[in-house]
Amino acid sequence: MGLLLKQIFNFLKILNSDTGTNQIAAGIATGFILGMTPAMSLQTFLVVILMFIFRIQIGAALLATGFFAVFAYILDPVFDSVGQVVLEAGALQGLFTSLYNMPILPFTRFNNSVVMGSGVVGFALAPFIFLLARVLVQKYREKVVARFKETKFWKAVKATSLYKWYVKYDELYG
Amino acid sequence: MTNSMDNKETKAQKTPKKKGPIRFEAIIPTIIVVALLAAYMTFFFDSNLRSGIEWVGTRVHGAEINVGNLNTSFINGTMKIENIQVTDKTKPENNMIQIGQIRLGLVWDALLRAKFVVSDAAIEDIGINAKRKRPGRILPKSDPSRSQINEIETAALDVTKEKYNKNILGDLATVAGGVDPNAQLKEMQNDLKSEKKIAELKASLKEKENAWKERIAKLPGKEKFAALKQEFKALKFDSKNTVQFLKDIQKADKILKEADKEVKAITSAANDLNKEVNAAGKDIGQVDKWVKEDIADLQTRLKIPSLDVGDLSKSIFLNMLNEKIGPYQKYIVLAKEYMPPPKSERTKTKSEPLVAPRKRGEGRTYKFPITKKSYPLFWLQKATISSKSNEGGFSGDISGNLTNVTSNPAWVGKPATLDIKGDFPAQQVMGLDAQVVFDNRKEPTQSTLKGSIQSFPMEPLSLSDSDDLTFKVNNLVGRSRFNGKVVGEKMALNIANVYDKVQYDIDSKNKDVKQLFTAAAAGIPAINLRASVKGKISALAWSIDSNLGRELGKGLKKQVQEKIDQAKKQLEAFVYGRINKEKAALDNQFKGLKNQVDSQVNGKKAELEREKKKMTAQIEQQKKSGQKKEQKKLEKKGKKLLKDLKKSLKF
Repeated sequence: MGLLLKQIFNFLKILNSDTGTNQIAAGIATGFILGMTPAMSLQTFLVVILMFIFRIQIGAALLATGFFAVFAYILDPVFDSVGQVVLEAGALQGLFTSLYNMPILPFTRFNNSVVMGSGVVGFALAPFIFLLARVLVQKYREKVVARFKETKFWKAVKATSLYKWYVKYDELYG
Repeated sequence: MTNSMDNKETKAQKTPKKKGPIRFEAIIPTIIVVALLAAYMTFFFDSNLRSGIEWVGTRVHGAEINVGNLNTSFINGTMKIENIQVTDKTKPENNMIQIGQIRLGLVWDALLRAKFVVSDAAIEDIGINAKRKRPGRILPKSDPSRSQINEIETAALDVTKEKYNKNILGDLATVAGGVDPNAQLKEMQNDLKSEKKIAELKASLKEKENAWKERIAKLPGKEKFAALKQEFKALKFDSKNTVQFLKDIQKADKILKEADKEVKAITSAANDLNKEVNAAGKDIGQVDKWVKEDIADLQTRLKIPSLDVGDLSKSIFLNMLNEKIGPYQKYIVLAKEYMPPPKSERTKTKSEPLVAPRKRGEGRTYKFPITKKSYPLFWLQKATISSKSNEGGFSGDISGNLTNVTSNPAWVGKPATLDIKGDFPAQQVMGLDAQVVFDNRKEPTQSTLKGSIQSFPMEPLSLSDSDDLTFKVNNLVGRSRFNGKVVGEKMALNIANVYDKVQYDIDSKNKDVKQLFTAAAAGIPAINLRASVKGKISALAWSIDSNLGRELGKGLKKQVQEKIDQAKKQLEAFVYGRINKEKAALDNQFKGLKNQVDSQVNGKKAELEREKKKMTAQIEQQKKSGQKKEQKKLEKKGKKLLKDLKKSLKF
């Protein structure tokens, strides 16, 4: 739990700094894929591994997973329909039969309508989510963070010894 | 210079080192996660799987199943299960079956495809009826986790629950010892079913009588028709006055229509009433059926048996056979569920509704064809069964094979088979030889069973344990041949058992009864039992024949049959004596009512129809005579015109 909270605090810190825009956007895109697809499939496991290997903001990914999972629950019937359309497509039957009988690939559970539907939607929209997240993060920093930093309240907070103590602590152990 | 150098150093210290796209610092956490996973697989997975097998097995079987030890090797793809104990539901202190060891070798190529294929397995040290360390737990019928299995079991047992007297020998002994039903009948104050029904019918007939009378009174009577008749008579049909004549004809037609309406109304009312009367008649006709039911019911309550030789064998052995065979029917259902034949288009649409509520991520799972290089979800290719008896041990000398148990028999293309041969010396079961084939490759599925046991012991058979008679068969050592077939929903099973050198334990308070049964049993040194069960699994019918039933029947017939017949006559006399008077009254009530309806309604209807016919005939006559007169008039006029024309033309 502590690790999770640390990741989320890190996310908030980076979000309010000037760095790591791509990391945050990648985290949101990854969280989008994880939130959309049902748990317990090979692709979910692979996405999690990628999240650990590459410098993707884990806090952003965790928050995005929770956020998009709620939508995914509502959108299940849509995913089911999309999955059925894909899995019943006549032209793809040969391909699916091969995949169904190949090693490893059955662990993706691609033959399940919800897994297929959410996978198609999740992976197809992930690049757009990445780009959109980048734009939104930049806009947030320009419009919200910059303005907030100019407020008297923030300046007063910055002047306190508690804040200075926190900055020092963050430099040393953060 | 020194200052600028210092500044540079501080800057280098302050600016954090730029990190690359790969998170190298995650290596250690990843290793920790992998290590934890490996630790779980090494230390806990086997134990969890063992508990899972015990839990599921116990629910399916209905009594405790224990697994002594379980070892899996992920790298080698092997599994070893040791000391499997299946509690006997009827004797929880014993194991129904006990298996020393099962070794499974899973094919890695199949595991990578998420399929479980066992290329070679060994089942060793099989024992039956071994004593348990502590009695096994029997799951109550109400256990919610077993509700589905319970349904299958209950359905299987219900179909064989034929109503046969479980203590027929005891009842025969009671009759043989002398029984006077009259004494017991006098004490019976309860209403007979037929008596109750007759009273109900009488009350209902009384109600109907009033209702019918009201309806008859409301029917169009003579008055209405007399008025119409009067109206009709008033018409003059004066042919001299053509206009008036036509008006009269029109009026007569109108009266006729009115009369027709009345006749129709009375016809419909008469039909309705006749229907109701006939229905009441049918109900009254049922009285004889209820009387017979009452007699049969009293026969059961007073324990007066029927000495039918066929039924005697059935009554003696049906329960025993039901208890032995009934519980195994669930395995036929389970085999069909887990080794399903290919679905026809019809069953596909039936079992897979397109719109169904589901949980998150459930959806529909599509099954694509399995190619030649792949495998079905589960396939036990071959398991070798071997077991050697050891002194003091539970296991038998068994050998056999189990082949092609699979979740997709159509793809495997071979039926699942079990061949087993051997002895269980400790349990005195010798010469077991059985072959079972489950052929679920196509619809209809076909399962066959064939086998024999050369010698097996049985618990003493208690055929009667009442005050009037104790009849036990001891020293039951039998031999058995059996064969059966289940094709689709139809089952046929034949069993032929012989129990040699049986000993009877017969006792009764009444010396004559004891002598009678002892003499009858003396001629039966060995018991033969031939049983067959046929029909749909949902409606099985047993046919049982045994020399025990036949010989006992013959031996008892002389002494007992006369007494049974006498007792039955007394019962009939009792029932008819109670209901005869009421039945006669009911019959008279109905006859009277029927006559009333016939005479009043049907008589009225006939009379009105007669009157209507008369009117119709009169109108027709008037019309015809009117037509003739008009014709003559016209002819006259024509002739006169012709005459006038001739005159004017001076012909």
